[in-house]
Amino acid sequence: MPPKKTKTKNEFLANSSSYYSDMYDDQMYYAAIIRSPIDKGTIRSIVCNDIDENSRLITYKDIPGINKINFLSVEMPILAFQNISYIGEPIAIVLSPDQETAHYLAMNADIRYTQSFEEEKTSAVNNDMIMAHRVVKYGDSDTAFDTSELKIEQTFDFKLQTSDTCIEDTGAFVVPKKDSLEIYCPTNWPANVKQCISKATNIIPQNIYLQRTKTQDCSTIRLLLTTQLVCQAAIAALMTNKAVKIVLSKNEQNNFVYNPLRTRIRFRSSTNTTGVITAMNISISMNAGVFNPFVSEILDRLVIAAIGIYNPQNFLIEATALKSQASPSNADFRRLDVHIFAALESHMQSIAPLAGVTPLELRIKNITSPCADRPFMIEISKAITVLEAVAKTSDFNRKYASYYIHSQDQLKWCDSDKLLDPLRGIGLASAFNGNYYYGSVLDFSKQTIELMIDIDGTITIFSDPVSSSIKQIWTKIASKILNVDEKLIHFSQPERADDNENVSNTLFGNVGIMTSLLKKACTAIQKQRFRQPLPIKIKRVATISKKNNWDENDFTGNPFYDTSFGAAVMEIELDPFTFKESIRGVWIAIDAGEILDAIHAEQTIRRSVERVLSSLSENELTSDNIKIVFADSNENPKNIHNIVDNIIPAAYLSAITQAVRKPITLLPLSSNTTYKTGFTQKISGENQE
Amino acid sequence: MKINMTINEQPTIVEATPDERLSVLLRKLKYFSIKSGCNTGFCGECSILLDGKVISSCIIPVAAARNSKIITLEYFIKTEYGEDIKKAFTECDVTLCGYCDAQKYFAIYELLQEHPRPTREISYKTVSSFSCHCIDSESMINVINKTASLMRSRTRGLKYGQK
Repeated sequence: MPPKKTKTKNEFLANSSSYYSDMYDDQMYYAAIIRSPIDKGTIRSIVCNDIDENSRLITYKDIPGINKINFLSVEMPILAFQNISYIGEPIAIVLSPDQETAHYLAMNADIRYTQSFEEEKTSAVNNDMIMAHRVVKYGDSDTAFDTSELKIEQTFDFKLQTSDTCIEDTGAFVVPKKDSLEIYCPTNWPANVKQCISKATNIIPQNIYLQRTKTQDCSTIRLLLTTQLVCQAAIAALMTNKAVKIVLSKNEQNNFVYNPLRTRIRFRSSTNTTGVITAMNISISMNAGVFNPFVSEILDRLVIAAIGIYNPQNFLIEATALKSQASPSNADFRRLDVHIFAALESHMQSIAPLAGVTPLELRIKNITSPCADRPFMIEISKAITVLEAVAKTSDFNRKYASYYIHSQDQLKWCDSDKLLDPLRGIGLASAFNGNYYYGSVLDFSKQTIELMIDIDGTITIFSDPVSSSIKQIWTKIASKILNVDEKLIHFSQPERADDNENVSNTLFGNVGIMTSLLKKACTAIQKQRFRQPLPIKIKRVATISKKNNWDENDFTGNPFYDTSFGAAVMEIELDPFTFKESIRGVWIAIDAGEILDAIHAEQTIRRSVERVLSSLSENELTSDNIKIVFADSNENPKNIHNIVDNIIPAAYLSAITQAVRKPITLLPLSSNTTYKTGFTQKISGENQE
Repeated sequence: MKINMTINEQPTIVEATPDERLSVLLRKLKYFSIKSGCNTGFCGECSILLDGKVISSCIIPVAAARNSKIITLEYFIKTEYGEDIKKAFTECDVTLCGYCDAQKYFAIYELLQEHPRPTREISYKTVSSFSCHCIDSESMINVINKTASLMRSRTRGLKYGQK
């Protein structure tokens, strides 16, 4: 029996029936995961004492096929028993008709194990701990340091949450059929899920029907965990011949999904007396957890973004991803470089007073300074225009100077413990957002869109799910080119003929390519519609080749298919008694090619700002004063969603730093940290945590 | 334990443990407008009307809802208030993600019950507390204003836009 979606109850609103967690079957099981209590060793036995005849325990012995998931370069067990890798690794699942009972049984399982202890634990990094390493050198930064008088060194520690926490819990719903399986899950890589299930269950991929349900985030860990959960549910469904729903509990979500990537970034810079950076040494260290299939990509993206769009005369970037006996850490595909931009831009803001220039001047000088033969280059034609635009609309230079003088005055008050005025600060940040990284471990080389005009004149656009704003933009484009009413334009998911399909387009900001393809498909349909009988279906494919663009080994060339650029200014006020921050204003300028729908673009940016603000502080951060400007451009439209993720944290850090007069190097922040850093003692990023 | 309650105007006797979360019970009864958000009463994705008041059902034990009247979004959307809010979303060209519908519908309803003509500050205070960021604050304020306008027109017996 197919799963019920209770149309009468659920489809009363758009999207309301798009979630796997709302699907059910009358005779279904709920699955809960029994997790390893040890980080290294072997599981000897698992017993559920309170289990009744309605419940079942499933271990690795019940897997009909291979107990392994292949996910890019990573192999991990579906249910582990030997060689446990981290505390909380799945070792068995319990099935029960009641969800609470299943979780209760899983929590209270009696697990016998043999724990392995490392003979000697040292803090030194050995080769086995290094998962990825990258060094990029340009010029001779050490010599430049020695000869420079103005030097600054800062270390930043970040542990930024990647997505909203109030979203659907990770999981899947599986319905067994005769010799086949129906899978409903929020995956971005259906082909990989199918292959893994096929190997685990010995069911051929053609007999596995997979329906993607609504996905609310694009994080690395969700992609990985969903595959593992689907495999576990599929095995359970086959064993019991009943539908199985597996949903992570809130605790599991917190421990294994909302497990943000931890990075430590150290900047050491020197400038000449005019503000041009003569040398920049950057050291990036990242805790990737026990395994992470995307570790090399994340690390490379951090390295590419490490000097932003600036041209230091000499630089050395050294990045290392370290393995640890912890669950895999999480990063969002669409904002892998958020940490490095936050550190870099905050660092730039700290350099400015040392060099005796404003932050805006400093940035412009270092964008325009000549830098030939750099190994990799990000070309942003309108960087200075965007920076000047945001500085002008926010009145940045005046406010920066005022707050600078104000903070100098306040130092005297602070010493006499009579701090009564609010503390104010303003921060400027800029960043690029690279779309389609040529060195990605995921294959996105083929981008496809299909367009069909039916006998009744309706137009259907077949593409991977896109946001409502993109839908509206595409509807307008198709309506204009084909001269049809917007109501006649519908969206549908493409039918996948083969199992070797690319990873979902939704993981990448592909609006530029897809819009261009849509225009081509509309033009082709328009040419044929009055010459050929209806229906007509047109397919347009764009092939992205990294040849001639990017050399992954030498790390040279242009790493992205296209790049959008943005700058932000944030003005902050701190309450002198509670140290709670309030935002006085956020100003954003963006160069993202042609803006197809300014209203929706602005709404998208506003939404992103609100989302990012909510992740930066333990206090509730909101702003009712958000001003957005777009640079005029005739270039192809580029992704604007994620640029905000890169600029807002940096602007926030810089503003807080100016307000408290001491560098803040930790995110997310709390009032306590702000107070301790600014007014009690100088503590390092490590100790703050 | 058998517990009496009225769900969406239907007298119902449910079999539940007294300390079970009301949100869990309602989802078991297939009211899927109630989502599992934070389970701490913060996000509001499990919002319902309990005896006319908007509450987060994840922090209410089933026993506390004994002999109470519960309205879920499935029923609320068919009421005059629900229809006004739905129409306002459509007219403002705003589509929700599907996970926070209950939170946003009931928050607008609660706000307009208290402030039939909300100022921008009052509206902003409500929308800035939303944990789901699928819609920006400005668009949500537009929806609130539009709903308020529709509700006023309806209660005056006039069509929207009619003077």
